[in-house]
Amino acid sequence: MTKEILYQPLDCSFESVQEVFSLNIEQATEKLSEKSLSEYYKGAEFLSKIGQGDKLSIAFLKTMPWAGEYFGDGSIKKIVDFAYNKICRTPNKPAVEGFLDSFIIVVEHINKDQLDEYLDLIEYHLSETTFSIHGIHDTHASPSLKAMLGNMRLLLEQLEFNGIYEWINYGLRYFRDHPERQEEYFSLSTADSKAVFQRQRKGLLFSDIERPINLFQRALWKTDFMYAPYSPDFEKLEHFHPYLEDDVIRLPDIYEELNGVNACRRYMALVAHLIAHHQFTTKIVADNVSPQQRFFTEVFEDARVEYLAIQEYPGLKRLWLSLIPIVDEFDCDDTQQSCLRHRAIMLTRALIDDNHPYKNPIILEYVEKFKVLMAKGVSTSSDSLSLGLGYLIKTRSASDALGKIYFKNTEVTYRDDNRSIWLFIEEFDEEDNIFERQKKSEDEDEDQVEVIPPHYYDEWDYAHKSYKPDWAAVYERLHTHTDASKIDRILEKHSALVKQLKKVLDLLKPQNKKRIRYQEEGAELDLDIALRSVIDIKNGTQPDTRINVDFEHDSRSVSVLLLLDLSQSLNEVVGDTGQTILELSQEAVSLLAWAVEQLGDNFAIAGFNSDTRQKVMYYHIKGYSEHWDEAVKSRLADLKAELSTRMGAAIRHGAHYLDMQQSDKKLMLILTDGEPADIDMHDPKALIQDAHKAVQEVQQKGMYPYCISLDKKADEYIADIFGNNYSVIDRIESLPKELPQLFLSLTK
Amino acid sequence: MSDFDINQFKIKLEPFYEAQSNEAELYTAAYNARLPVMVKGPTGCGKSRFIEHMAYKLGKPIITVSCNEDITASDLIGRYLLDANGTRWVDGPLTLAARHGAICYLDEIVEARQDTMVVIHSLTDHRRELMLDKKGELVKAHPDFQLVISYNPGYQSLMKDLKQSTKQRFTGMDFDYASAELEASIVTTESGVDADTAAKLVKLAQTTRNLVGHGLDEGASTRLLNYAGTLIASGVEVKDACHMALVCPITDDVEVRTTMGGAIDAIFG
Repeated sequence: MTKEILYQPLDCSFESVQEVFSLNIEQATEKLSEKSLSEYYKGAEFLSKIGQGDKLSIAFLKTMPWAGEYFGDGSIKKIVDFAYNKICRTPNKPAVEGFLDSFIIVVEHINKDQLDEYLDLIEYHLSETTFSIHGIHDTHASPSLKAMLGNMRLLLEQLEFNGIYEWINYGLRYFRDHPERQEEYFSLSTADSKAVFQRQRKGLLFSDIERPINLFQRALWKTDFMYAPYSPDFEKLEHFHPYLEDDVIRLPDIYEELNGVNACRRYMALVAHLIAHHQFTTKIVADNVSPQQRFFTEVFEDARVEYLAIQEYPGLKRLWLSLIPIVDEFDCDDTQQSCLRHRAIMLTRALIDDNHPYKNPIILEYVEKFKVLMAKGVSTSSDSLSLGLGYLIKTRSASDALGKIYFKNTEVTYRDDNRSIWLFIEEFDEEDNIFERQKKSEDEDEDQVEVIPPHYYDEWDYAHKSYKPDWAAVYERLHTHTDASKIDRILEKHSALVKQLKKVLDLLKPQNKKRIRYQEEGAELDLDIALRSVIDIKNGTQPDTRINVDFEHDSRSVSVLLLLDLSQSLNEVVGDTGQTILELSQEAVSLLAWAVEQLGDNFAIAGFNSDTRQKVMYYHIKGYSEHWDEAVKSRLADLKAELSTRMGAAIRHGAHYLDMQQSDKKLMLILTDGEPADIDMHDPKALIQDAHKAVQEVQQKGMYPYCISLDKKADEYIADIFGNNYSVIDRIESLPKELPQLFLSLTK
Repeated sequence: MSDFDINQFKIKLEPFYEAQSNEAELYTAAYNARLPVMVKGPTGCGKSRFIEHMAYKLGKPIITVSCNEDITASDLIGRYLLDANGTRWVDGPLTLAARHGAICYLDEIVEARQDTMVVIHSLTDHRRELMLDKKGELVKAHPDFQLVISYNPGYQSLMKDLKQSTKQRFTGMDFDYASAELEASIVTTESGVDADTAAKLVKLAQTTRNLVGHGLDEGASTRLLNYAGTLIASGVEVKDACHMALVCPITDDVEVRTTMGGAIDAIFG
């Protein structure tokens, strides 16, 4: 019998299609029922005749055997109909190929009965992103379908369907009218897209649990390792293992529950294993040890350090055991595939589990040897080496070298890559250091100026009553500087004002006394209490003897951040003074800074402006620990006004630093000349509402934001942002005089 | 005043105390010379128990004052009270001890305000006398009188410290949690749990002590271990007992509690 008779020919004139057909038909016949097979033929023939060339049929032929087998009869027809009716008949024809290709991933990640749900999802995305321009009989293709299909593996692997819908809806909400941004979003390449994605992910983010894990290692082992989470999904490192090196623990950024062990406990298992290595492993020179020998040595060494750790913390045993898979002893056929990993995972389990199910005599023998070794009480990593070598010799099989490896269920997720065991004297490229690679590529990408990575802040969307995560990128810079003597000249010019301020300051300096009542001994008699005591005596009851008041100095503990709006509008000239608002602000800030220095309060100055959400600049002019010296003056002297005012992001960033200050009172003064605005926001209310939200956040953290507005029209919006905490200075000329006084009255 | 019986302050039953090293000898030597003693150490490590134990051994009465912020000099030395016939002087605990020859134990002395504490100065140097200025009497200390103070440097803040002039009137003894084996044997004796459980409880306590300064102000004390042991001995499930006696009292921080949950699992399995 020749092959031709086994299956019918395909009615199609593309040679390329016939070629792919002949490669796949055998598999298709094997996988599909008769009915599905006929759908397979019809679909392939149909797709080659709808005027889209050979590509669709080729993708179809390759993927449908799997889809048809998985989803059952009728599914192939359903997919073809969908591809034709919903995609081909819209301007999205180019996406069909990607759609068909996606099934190779889809069958791995969704349930058999979820085909409709998947198709609905694609249809939803298409209908929402394909749009027509009114009046022109032309519709535009979805700018993002292809990008989304490209990420389908990640989406299905990490999110539930409703999570994907959330993620899509978010993208639609903000980028529906912006094709390029939309494509960026759906290709998961922007910070906010990733953030929304992360929020929808299944499992527990490490950052949410970092502190308890940190306390866990400190509590049990008094260690203080740092963490560097890596993201197995975005970085395509599915089989990258955790490890501990240079006092830094690298671990996955998210864990789901596994075998009934919740994510938090899984992280604990991981950290405990790494620390066990750290405590008990000594390095072995690896150069003369083959990879297979190393592999089994690692099994014994892992078991050895865990055994030792269990001696101290017996409960770790149950935790670890619940994460080590049990495989069927006879599941792996060593004539067909490499059983290396299968043998290793059985051994792994047997070494720790006293009730393991395995009967293999060599395993039992080596478990016995291991137990004898451990019972002696003294063991080293080289003992693991000799056990590993011995075990490999006894179990070695010709099939070990086969390319087809038994992999299913042989991974112990909490264990590291064991780099800590081996010492390579000669250079190898084996260690997979993604972190350096990453760093290098980042360095190359970014231009020289922007070396400090931005802080991302959420922004409030008042229309949807939700935060847009990681929306605004805030870059920090030290402000540029120029000749400091300019500031000294300003102070000289205002010498009368300086004198006046000095008087106020002197009054403030001998700071308030606090009255302490109910003292037995004190500076003065407290008449109220004394009278009460006399009445008690007259009544014959026991009088309170604590009838005095005493005084205590109340020390001043204030931190102040002065946040300057440095947007373009400050360049306007004020009235007939010939000075710009910026110059007046400069004078006012100089006086204020001088005054605060006299008081000795903790004081910082920063400026901000913005050029869309991608570039909010935050300039440090004076730090909290800096004194009012030449360096600060020279920075203040160089103030420039440009761009726009994205106030919310700047307030959040300023609060980030102010919050770290150790003071009883934290005051954030915001000096601005207009309402928040930016060129990428068309709704004037949006940034006002965001600034209001930022102010609320700051207040919740116990800081006191206060706005000094130089905008005569500020009354229209300022209360919406700051509530009652603002002053509007109508005569900008008087700002140098008013600002310090305002500060003093606020902090009195 | 003559009908006052100082012997009511004597301790009748010997308090259990497991010596960590030579502290009993040191204390006895200090007592023999009537030197004032200050004992320092974390909460619940056995300071007060030790002093009671020594008072019992020496057969001396002991008057304990728990200090707090509102305690005044008159609360220590005494005051005039009104009664039907006018006023009547009542000795405070310090005066009682000095007059009748007891050990006066001021517990957690830093809690009291610094200026209150200067009243003890004349009793703690060569003078060994106490001036009752309101009454106009100078009390010469009884030969058996000794002053002992305790405090816990753990939560000592900037505000709460003893004056140098007060500190330098005392001999000092440092207390700390007993070594693991000793602490376990203490827990076994006090609470009646088996040695293995006691050892595990001690291990758990050590994990909390490792967290001091990282979310905990103080680790679990020996006293709490005894509580936990007592609960376990009375049939409470181990993890519940640990949670009730060792986690719940020392922290409200959810994350620290999560960690402690992990530690309990790691130790008890």
